[in-house]
Amino acid sequence: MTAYLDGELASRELQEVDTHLAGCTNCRDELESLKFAYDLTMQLPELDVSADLWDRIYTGLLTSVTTSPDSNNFSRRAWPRKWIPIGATLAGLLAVVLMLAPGTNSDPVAEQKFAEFLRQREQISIHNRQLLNNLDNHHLPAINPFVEAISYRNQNPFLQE
Amino acid sequence: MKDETQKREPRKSDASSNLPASRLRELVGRAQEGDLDAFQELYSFYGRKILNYLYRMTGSREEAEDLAQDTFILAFRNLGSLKHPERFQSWLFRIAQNNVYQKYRGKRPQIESIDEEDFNELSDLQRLSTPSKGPEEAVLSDELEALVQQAISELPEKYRTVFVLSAIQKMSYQRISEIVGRSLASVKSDIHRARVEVRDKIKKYLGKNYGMSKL
Repeated sequence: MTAYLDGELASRELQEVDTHLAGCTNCRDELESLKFAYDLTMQLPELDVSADLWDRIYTGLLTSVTTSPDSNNFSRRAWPRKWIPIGATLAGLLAVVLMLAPGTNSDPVAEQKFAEFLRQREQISIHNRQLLNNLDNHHLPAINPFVEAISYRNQNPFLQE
Repeated sequence: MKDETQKREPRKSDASSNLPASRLRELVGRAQEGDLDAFQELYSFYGRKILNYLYRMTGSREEAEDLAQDTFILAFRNLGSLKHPERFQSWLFRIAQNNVYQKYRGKRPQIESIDEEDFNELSDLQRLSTPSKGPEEAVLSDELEALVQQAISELPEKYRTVFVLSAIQKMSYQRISEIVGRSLASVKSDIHRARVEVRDKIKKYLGKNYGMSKL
């Protein structure tokens, strides 16, 4: 009977119920009383959502982000903990670069010092490259430590005695 | 011959009261990535439904708002576990249902009992609802609303859930089955028992106070 009122019956079942109701006073009365209660329920007023409910939810979401990051989907997605040290390192490097990089409005003295720094760094780099080249091209004499030791032994006056 | 007006028109599909599937998928997907604007849009669509479901389950606006708040916060936290965005509504109602269950575990919500003297002051059923409006628009008097609400609140939780989802939220039996996690046959049976029980309580009150023999 309830499924009939709710429109949940298939067409064949609907026909069967209709046929039965046509000849059964008791079932018609039952249907009528159920429908009366059903209509009263349908008339229950609906609440409007209060204006501050979303604010409360929003505050709760932000609070939960800071208080329980491990159980919070949002915090895991937006601020993965494993990225925090990497992010901090990158932020530090960026700060150093920004401090060293000449800006359009930077101090002329600082710019001059920075240019000097670059020039010295280039000279050091050139010098280092030259040293490396010399090392590559330099043929060290073949020193046999055993021969040297024998020679030294032969020159030792105490041993000669 | 049966009065044809008694038969209810088949209820509209739940889809008509839902977001378009593509929009729902998009919003849920964005919310799963932490987009609060998308989640707020989901709230704008489902907030009122959840609030009214909880209101009829608890009988208290204050309790309903607290539970609605908890429901949406919990939903956002656990959105990552929702594998099928198209089932968002059922999933959300299930969270709300669990919240009610946990809050009132083993006990029923406290509803103020109806003052029978108030009922005795009413002369007839016409005073219980506004006669100028049609059945769909009629507004119940406070007393009659309290009567129906008490009848709902006195239902065992198992029946109360399916009754509110069916009679108030007007959901299909299939969707209710998804929400409560019981078979369709079980849901049908429970809705029927709940309706009969609510009817009997209303009948008892109105019969006693108004001598309404037709009930």
